[in-house]
Amino acid sequence: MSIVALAFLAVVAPFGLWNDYLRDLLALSMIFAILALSLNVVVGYMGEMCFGHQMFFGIGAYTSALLSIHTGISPWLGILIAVAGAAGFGFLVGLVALRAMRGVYLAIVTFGLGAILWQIVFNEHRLTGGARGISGISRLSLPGVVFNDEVSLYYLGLVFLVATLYFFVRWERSRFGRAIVAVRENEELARSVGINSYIYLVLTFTIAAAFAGLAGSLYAHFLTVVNPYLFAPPYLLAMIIMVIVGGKGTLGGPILGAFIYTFGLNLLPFSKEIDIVVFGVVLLALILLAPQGAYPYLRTLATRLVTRASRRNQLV
Amino acid sequence: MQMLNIEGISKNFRGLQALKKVNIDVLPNQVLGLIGPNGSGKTTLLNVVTGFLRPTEGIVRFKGESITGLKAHEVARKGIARTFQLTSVFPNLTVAENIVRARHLRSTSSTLRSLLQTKGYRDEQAMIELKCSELMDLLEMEKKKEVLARHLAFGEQRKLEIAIALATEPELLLMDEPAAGMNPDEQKRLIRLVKLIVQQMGITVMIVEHNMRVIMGLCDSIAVLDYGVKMAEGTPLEIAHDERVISAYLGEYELG
Repeated sequence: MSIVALAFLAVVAPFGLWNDYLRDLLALSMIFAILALSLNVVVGYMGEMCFGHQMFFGIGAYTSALLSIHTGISPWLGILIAVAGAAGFGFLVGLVALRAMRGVYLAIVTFGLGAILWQIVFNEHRLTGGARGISGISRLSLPGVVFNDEVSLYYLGLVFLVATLYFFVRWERSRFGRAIVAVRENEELARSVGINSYIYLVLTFTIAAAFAGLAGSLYAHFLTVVNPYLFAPPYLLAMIIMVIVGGKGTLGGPILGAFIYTFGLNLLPFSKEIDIVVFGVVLLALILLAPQGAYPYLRTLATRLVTRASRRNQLV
Repeated sequence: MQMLNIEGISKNFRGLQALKKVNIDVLPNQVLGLIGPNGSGKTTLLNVVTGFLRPTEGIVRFKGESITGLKAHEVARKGIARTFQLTSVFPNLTVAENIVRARHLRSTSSTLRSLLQTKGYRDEQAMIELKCSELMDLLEMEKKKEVLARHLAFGEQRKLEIAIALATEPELLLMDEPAAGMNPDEQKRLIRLVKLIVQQMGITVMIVEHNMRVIMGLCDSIAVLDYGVKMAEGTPLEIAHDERVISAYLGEYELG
């Protein structure tokens, strides 16, 4: 029943908002939700932290951007190539990093890689446009509709988000998904029941990179401009905040976190400098109130209210 | 044919000789006990057999086939399961979810099939659930199946460990001090459980233990390790009366 309600809300959302800017944020939230879900794969399912995850986002975005500018291929095909590119790069990184490193070491290595990539993209003028980035990226279109306004972009993003969610829900229950959770919980025990922990970690990392690449590719076509700051720490921090404040390890958490971040940061009424401070305080309050994340907190709250309501009915 | 052959296994840790040319054979359907003082290399030997460590020299054969140097997950695939010295479960998963993970080797549905929810996938899910129910009944854990593993009492976590190992449908089960921390009642139930595993499930067991009541009550044959060397092997009666074993380890043991 709650899924029907949610679906209804999702479909009418843009019309409940009263200006274009809000609808813009709504569309953007879809992309960031996918991005947050991709980081959640590493944090929630692998139990690791990747401090360079934004590089896959950037690779997806720039791949789509370059393909759009320099070739005439369909942007949809461009998305596919961007995802494959990000996944391929993620596979290589995972293959090397996960052989011997976990925890803190993995975080440091991925951070270093992300920083290197940022520097390369920032300084390489000819290929990537340097600090100015790339603009004039084509829009996505289907026969009859061009995705160039906030409402259509929102629905497009929503479709991708739902597809992403569907994948993760099914994957969680598959042999693969179960195996990687086992590795997260107790790697030694997992190996003793026949799970090749290394392979599963690498493949899972690849999936995480692929979805980050998808988010990046969509970002490029939504905004029609990309800049090297996609590879910079702010996007990394944004992702981490979304996953942790929203609730890591769950599927609803990163999505909620994406909304909190996108709307929260952009809707504060004060000047830009004060906004950031206030936002920081708000995030702090949220995490103190709900250390497991906003989504698990709300879910527990809802369950308690439901049981209290049904109990009241029984007493009468 | 023998179930397990440990031939001339040595393990060196940068100068520390943990195992020295150990030879042990395990016959099918028997219970072999491995005893010895702490630090004598019992767990190291278990780790070598199950692929968590590579031996410095020697061969390990399982049903005649060499498994030396195979990685842990490959050894599991061959049909060898183990429990660990320090309780090893998947802490944040429920009892049922714990056992399901152990069915990894026995399920074959690819991710694609689960994405599409094919009939094959759903049938397999039903099969998995059935197997898990059977195991939980066997270990009297049915009532706890939705409890998180980390919330279980110590003794129940131990039982869960055994359930996880059994879920892989092994032919050989290696147990590392399963009776540690158990009260006499739990020990009796452990003995009964292992006997059931051997007799009804046809599994061969090798058990590392300090608890003499469990060892003597269970084992067909006992091997004794001391400083990485096998110093004695024989029936429980022989071992209990072996002078060297008594002085090195047992003290005076009354086979009452």
